Amino acid sequence: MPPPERVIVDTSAFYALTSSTDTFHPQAKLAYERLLDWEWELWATSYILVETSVLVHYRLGFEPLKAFMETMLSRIMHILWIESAIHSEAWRRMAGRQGKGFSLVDWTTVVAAEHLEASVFTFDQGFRQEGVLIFPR
Amino acid sequence: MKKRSPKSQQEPILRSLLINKYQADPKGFHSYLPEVAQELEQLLPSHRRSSYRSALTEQERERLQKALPQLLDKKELSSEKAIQALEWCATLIQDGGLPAEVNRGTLLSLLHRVTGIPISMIRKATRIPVQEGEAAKEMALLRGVHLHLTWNDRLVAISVSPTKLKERPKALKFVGIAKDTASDVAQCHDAYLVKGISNATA
Repeated sequence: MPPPERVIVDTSAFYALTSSTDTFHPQAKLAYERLLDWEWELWATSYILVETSVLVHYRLGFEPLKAFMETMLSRIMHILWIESAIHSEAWRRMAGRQGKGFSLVDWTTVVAAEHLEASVFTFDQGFRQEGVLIFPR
Repeated sequence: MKKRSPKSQQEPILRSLLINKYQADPKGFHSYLPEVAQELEQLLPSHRRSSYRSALTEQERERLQKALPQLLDKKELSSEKAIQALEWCATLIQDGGLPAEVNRGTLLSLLHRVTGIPISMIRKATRIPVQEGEAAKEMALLRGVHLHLTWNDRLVAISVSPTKLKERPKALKFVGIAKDTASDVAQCHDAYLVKGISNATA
């Protein structure tokens, strides 16, 4: 069997999945089910986890956060713990753009996607402009 | 008349435009501008990325995407037709373009029709032969259900892993678990984070 495709799930996708009232929820759910069924390797970075956790806790409460974290720490999700090389490269790119556009978390996702040869499950079209293949297409 | 971007911005804009055009239709782009496509392939670490595009042409893809729902609409699907439907699904999945209406329920009933047993009733790892032939590839149809196919996507066998099947509900546990009063948080999450920090420090 060929190696599975890899995809990094970003904050926009995680939040659209968690909140049933989000505009992108139906699209996110269908895409996530497909990724699960096609057995793509699902990845999140530690920075995405922190960002999503803050947002879910602040806007939706602790119980949704607990359910989210339990899935993240199960064997379904691979976590890329951001270390100094990826952080520094992300910062170098952000500084190169004078902080315009992407956040530092987004830049770490771009660098991580290159590192893992992964696409990014996101609703932020900015990733496409940075040469990252996004899912859903 | 459309205002032109300053010269310093033209290069990244051109780069983005080219990447978008390439990613929308790599094969078509390659046929028109092979040298530029090759440069872009070098630029994008795309060995893995391009692999979920199969060799279907636009016409073949459209034909299959139209024919599959028509086949599935039939009231009584014979075992042979169910095999054919699964083979078409396999081709479209490899191409990354399974129509949204072909949902999990449909795939489970096709598998039931072909194997003669509901997949959820299978208790241990099993490989069920379907047709004669040499399997050249294996792909996931549903989590825990793999299709074994010949080089030209003829279905030879189906294998089921109950352990893997059980991962799916766990992975979906957090999906749709809460309701937000706003519906644009996913897209504007950075702005909502800033708002949260502002409220916390006010």
